[in-house]
Amino acid sequence: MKRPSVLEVHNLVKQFPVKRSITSQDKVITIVNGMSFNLIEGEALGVLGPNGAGKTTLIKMLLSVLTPTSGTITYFGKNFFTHRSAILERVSFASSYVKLPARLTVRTNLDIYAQLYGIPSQERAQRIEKYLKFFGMWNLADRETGVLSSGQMTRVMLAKAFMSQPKIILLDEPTASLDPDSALEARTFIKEQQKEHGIALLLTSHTMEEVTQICDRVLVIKQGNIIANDTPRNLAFSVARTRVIFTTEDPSALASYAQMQGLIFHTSEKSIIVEIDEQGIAGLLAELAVQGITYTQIAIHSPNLNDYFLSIAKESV
Amino acid sequence: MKMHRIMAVIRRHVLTSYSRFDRLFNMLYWPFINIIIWGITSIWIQNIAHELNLAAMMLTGLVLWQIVFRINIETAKCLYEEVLDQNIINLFSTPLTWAEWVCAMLGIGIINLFLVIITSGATVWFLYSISLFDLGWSIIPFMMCLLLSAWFIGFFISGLLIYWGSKATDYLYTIGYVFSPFSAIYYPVSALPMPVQKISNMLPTTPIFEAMRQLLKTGTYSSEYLIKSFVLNGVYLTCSLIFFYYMFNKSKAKGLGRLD
Repeated sequence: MKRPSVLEVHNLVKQFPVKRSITSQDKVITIVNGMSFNLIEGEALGVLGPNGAGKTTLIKMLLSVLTPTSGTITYFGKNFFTHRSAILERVSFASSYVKLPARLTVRTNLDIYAQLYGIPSQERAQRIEKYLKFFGMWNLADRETGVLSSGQMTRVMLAKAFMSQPKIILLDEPTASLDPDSALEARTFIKEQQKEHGIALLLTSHTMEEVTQICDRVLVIKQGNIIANDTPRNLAFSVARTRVIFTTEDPSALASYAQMQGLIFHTSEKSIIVEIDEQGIAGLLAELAVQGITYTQIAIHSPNLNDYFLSIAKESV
Repeated sequence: MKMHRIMAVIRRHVLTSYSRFDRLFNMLYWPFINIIIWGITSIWIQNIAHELNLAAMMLTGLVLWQIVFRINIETAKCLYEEVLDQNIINLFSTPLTWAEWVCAMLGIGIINLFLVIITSGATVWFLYSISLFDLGWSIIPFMMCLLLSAWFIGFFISGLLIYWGSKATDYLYTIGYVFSPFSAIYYPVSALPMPVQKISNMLPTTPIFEAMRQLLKTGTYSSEYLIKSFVLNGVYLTCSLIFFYYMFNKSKAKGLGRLD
């Protein structure tokens, strides 16, 4: 059965007036330029784009802390502007760039946020314990939030976002300030919770690995426009093919064969890189064996979102 | 409007204000200093001018003025603290509405009213044997009117803070002061220059201090003072809330995130 959309964005525009001088006319800059997309129930949707592409502006509009210039946002089939409060009871948010009241303890902060979402007192205590224990923050529950490191704060923010057990979570670069170990742990947690509770995720990130690991689909935005909307794999393969790297003392035999077959290849002193579709790799290796062309090492590099991101960055230059 | 959200905001600010010595100290320190200075000054003037009740009038005025002065600051300071804590996006991306925030501020105002009256009233009674209860039951409508005045100033400043963020910090501590010379706290309106009297008569705080002086002098006061204060407060508070709401939406058009 087809899953319903929990979020639909239609023709969203955000423009900011820029004051120039008393004599000249005001100019308008467009940060989000008519974006339309949807988020399906239980889906993880990544939003990728270079700095200034409009990712954070988009998230802020989806949270009602920034009013769009035009366009509509519909959550659960209801207009966001007329049903804001009821909708936000089922939507939560975490970012590594915002903070919590510094003078309150971690436990009190989470308790107050849980109260804002209408969670009963007894249940609040249980959920706080559960999520803080998961993130290894239970021993810091009674510490003032202001003294936490940015990594610890990020974990508290994630606990805050998941604690209300929402249907949709908006994550703005959620692991930006975590070390690689903790980031991996957080991503695993996000993915597990998302699958377990059927949460729809909208995630912005600069970490391609994160988007690949978590997201089912990716929106690529550039200068306020959506320029691609596909799975991470399809996006990666749209700009590059698989590269098979052969290390050999004499690359000339392999180079001659590749030339004869019309393959795309690059050679260096002791290696040759052949670009080929994934399904052609087995055939290529079998043919090399038949031809008696040898090599000492082989590495296969599949294209990833990094390749895609670099290609769109190159286009900008 | 949901009560649990209003209570959550009240809890957040009560815990921040009253669990911190520096914040509590700041809230009580200036009223205490003012009471000492004005108490000694007014008793000295009373003795040389042989003006009965002068010290009682001045000190009762001072204590009542603390309602306006402290509560307007505390109302706006709650919003200011959210800006300082970079908590604005977090807070207004929850189901919390602007109206619930306003209701929470009204609740915090009532809590602060008790705190101001109990601490300042007790200080005046302890140091100078002057009791606020000499005003009788009238103290209740007096306090209510002054609380309304504190709110209208506090929400006006909140409107500035939600738009300009920490750039509006100076207004937080100064706007309340602007009303003090015109409110005839320590002297009658007739003591003011004529053009200033016109401004004074347009303020909802002035009739309360006039009524207070009349009550302490004659044992009675004209109910017109109270009616005038309530009506003016109603008008000012409505305008102030409209201004705050307008600025809130104007700020959202620019993005509340820029305040963090």
